[in-house]
Amino acid sequence: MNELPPLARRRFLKGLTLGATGVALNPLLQRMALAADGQPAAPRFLFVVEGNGLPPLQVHPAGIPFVERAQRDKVAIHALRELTLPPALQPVAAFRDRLAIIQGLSGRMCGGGHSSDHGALGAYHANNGRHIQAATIDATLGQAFPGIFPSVTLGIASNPDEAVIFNCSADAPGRSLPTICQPHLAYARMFGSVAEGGARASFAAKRNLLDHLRGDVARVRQRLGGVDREKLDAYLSAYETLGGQSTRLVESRDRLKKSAPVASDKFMSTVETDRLDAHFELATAAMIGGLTNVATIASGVGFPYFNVTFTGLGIEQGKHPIGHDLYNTDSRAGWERSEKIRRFHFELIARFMTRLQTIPEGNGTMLDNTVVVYLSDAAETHHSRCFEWPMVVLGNVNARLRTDGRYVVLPDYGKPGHRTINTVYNTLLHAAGKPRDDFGKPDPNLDKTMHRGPLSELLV
Amino acid sequence: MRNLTTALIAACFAVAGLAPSSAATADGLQPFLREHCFKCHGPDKQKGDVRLDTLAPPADAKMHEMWKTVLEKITLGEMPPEEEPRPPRLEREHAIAALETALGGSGGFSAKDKLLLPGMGNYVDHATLFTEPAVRRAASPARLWRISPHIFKDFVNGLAAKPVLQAKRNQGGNGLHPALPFMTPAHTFRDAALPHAFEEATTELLVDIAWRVAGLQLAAKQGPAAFKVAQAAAPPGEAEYRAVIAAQFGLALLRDPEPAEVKNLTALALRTAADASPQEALQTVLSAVLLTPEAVFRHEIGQGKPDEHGRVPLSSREIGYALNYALRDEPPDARLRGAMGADRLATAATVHAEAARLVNLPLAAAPRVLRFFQEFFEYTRAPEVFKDALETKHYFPPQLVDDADRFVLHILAEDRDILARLLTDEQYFVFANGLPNRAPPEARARKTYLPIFSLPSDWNWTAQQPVKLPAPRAGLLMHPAWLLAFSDNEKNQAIQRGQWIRTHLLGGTVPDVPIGVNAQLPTDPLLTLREKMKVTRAEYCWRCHQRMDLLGLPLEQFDDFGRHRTQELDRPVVTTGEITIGDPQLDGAVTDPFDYMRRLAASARVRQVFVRHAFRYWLGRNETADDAPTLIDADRAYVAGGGSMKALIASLLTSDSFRYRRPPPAKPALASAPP
Repeated sequence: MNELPPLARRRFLKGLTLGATGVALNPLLQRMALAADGQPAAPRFLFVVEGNGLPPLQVHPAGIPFVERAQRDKVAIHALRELTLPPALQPVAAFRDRLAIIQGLSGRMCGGGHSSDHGALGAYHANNGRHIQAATIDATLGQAFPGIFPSVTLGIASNPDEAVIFNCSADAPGRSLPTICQPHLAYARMFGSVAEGGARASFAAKRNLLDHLRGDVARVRQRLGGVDREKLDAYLSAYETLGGQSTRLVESRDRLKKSAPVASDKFMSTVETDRLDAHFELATAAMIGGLTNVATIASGVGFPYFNVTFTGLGIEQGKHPIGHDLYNTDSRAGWERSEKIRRFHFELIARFMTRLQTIPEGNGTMLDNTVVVYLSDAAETHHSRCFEWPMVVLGNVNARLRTDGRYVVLPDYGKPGHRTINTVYNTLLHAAGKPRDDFGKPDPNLDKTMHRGPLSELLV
Repeated sequence: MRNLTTALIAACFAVAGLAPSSAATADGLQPFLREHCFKCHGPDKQKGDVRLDTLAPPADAKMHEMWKTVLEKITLGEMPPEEEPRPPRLEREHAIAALETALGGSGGFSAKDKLLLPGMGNYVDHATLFTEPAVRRAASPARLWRISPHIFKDFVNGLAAKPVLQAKRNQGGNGLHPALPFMTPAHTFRDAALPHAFEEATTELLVDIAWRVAGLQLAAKQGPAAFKVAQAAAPPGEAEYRAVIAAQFGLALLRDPEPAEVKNLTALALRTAADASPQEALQTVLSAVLLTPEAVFRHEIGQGKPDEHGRVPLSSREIGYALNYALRDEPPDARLRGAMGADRLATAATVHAEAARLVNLPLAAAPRVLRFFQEFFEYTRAPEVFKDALETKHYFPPQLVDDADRFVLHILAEDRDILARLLTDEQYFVFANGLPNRAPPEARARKTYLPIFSLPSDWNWTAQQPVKLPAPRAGLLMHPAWLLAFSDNEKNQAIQRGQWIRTHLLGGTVPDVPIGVNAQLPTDPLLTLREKMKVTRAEYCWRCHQRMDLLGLPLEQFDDFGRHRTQELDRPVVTTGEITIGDPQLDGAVTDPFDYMRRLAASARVRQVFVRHAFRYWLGRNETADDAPTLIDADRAYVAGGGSMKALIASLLTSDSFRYRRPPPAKPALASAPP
């Protein structure tokens, strides 16, 4: 196929897609057609935010000494190919040539404590959700590259009964995005048209209902003049969005059937490993099916949600006491438990990457255009102070990131060359072709060069 | 200094509508800055690295941000700081207006709007709120108040004629649907009117539950005849659909549909019957009524011609709902529905009569009364507190909350000296509903729960409660549930306790933790909490901590499980503290928690702050200066009633703030709307 001249290839692919699915383009062929057309497919981002802190030592590779924060005076970059990945990261060893581990970022402006909640992806002090200052990076990227859903946040919380919580993402100042904690609810939202099988009638009825409500709310809005206009605007906008989504989901039904995960028992499970597994499946399927380009997995993000007990891994202790074990007593058992839980997250990340690597896109695969960012909302430890905030980045967005198997250690807080988490988010926006140099809020105690612009050690 | 002064003067002229040559206005502003700001933020000193005399006009983002900060600090009364002389009211308002105007010209910002946000109510001057104004003109803004998840729960269960939503306590569920989450910040009343709306995800969940309920309505054996007739028809025609629509309006909205509503919904039904099926057409129209804005937002618009203060009274229907949902979660009862339908709540006398009836309902039928105390004191947070100490497993925190509820309900039932008794009563409920009736849990309860109340493990449980405990303890702030709610895994939260007392009883404020502050105490196990808290005495920390620490420390009489103690780390426990709020009746050293609570209970200011909180809860918003008459009347009613909660609530529910609405300023009409 690559031997065809570009124009002919484009026509061929477009013809194929129309013939294959009628109105809706098959997402795979659509991606190939876009590439043939000279238009790159939208970049994709998966953020995996795990509560309870990420101790820097847990992402430190074997083979080089760990340098304590206070002793870091200059930027150090090591090639990971010569080093052994730490146990938690072993599951992504196959992707080490797309990996960057970044040590020494700070995020003091986020506040710290048990969690910086929205501040982790927003790079600001969210004050336990009371002061959501701006859109978080996932929502910002989702707004720049919207699918049927601009972005999707899925997660688990300590209480398995939680259905929807507001703890991690935000799409505007003061507007937290929901984290859907029940995989079956997320499944119904994204793949409901498939799940209902032959019951297309319900979809048609609901679409009529949404259309009617759009008009109904608009009428009330007009009658009430300016009374609480913003609330009615939001309600109206929700119906407009849902109506549009419903239409597009129905139109995409055939192709969604191909990417929808099998709705197994784990979608209704109360076991946290099952639910996390199901959420990763949903995020994978949503990206493959073209439902969204940005997904966030919020694994026990925020207080009090982070005290998840990973019984599915044979651990009977919640993450809160595990955090205390690590923080107060440097307990070996606590270390091994937290490492085991982290490793499980990276197993799911590896599965996500492997799956995307099997889907052709343009001249490569979907994985070539995808980035995974892993971090904790509690920065470096259980009671975080955010003097350092380790991050793991996988994928290179068509070679726009220097995730070439590197271990980057930045200078200590305030020292020349030190950078904040803002710079990673600036980097992602630059790599995505939406450059910004001022994402989030600055740390007032640092020189502006430390939070402005992309991270040169990460951006090509 | 020249830049700032020039800009401020220009703004000041704009506010005053004066020509720049008006020396009087400029002279009025400059002294404010010189008198109240430059001492710490001027040429000689720049506290917090802030220098105001050289501030440039708000032309760029950085300067705009700085101006906003200045405006906010002055508006909220955080600057000048408490220890400095307070600026005269008019002078301060003048400076605020000038700053607002200057910012309005470069992006628009009103710090006053911030005073309306939950958690910011205490920034309104207390004395102003209890000073009779020249003109009584209290009113709430015309508004849409999203129904609470509690109201929604009863609404849904009533329509479906089955408990679709129910609390499953042993599974952690509270029966509140996620489509209606509380969006209010911690330490505030949850069901505030301002912050709650539906956005995309919650609307989607709302559609799902409405669709489900509509299906259950159609499947219910005991449903309206119109539903049965329509389902039996093959297929239903316009007449059957119209009957179904009318029945659903009666059930869900307690009114008849308007002709346009019938027309639109009938068209929806017919269209859906063609696109899907008649059964789904019925489910669609039932859902549509459940999702109409009137069903999910409480309409408090008002009707009629505005009075001389620009206020309109709530309609009979609106005030009927408002009265009902002030106390209950269930829809209005038959009597209230009758009054609403017959437009009998149009006069002050009928509103008074209905309010009096509702506040005298049994407490079980008016769950919002107990909920007020739960949210005010926050003791229901006790089970959320994480404790990992092995010896304290199974200490029954939900039971502590139940016992605290019983403590409150017992005092409420007698309805006298409510606040004072809540702070000082010495008789408590202990496993008031009975000890666990199985041996292992009972043994655990005896081993862990009874000692929390200083009772021996072989205590002879009695149904005759409340009981006096062996060790001294008085009031809800010494109830283990409250103490536990303000503790963490390892220690008491004396700072947070002090913050609660300052904000909830003294009416004071505490700023947020500044960015960059490492708000952590030492973890040295050989130090008492009081000793650990010495780190907050550093000058920079103490500016805020002086507002909290000494208010919380007297409660060190109890450990982090609420157990009374005389020793801490083998040393006599220290229970001293100090009140400094600027009220001679309150201020001064505190020797122990018992003396402390008695002093708080006897304070007029504390009582008034309690009334302010009751206002916020029952009005669903913060108080403003215009609400002074409402607060004054409510306080008087409470006192005249001998500390009666019923009198306080009734006063609030019959106040102008409750009964009148102020329409928003007129805005240009919308271009068009769908037919």
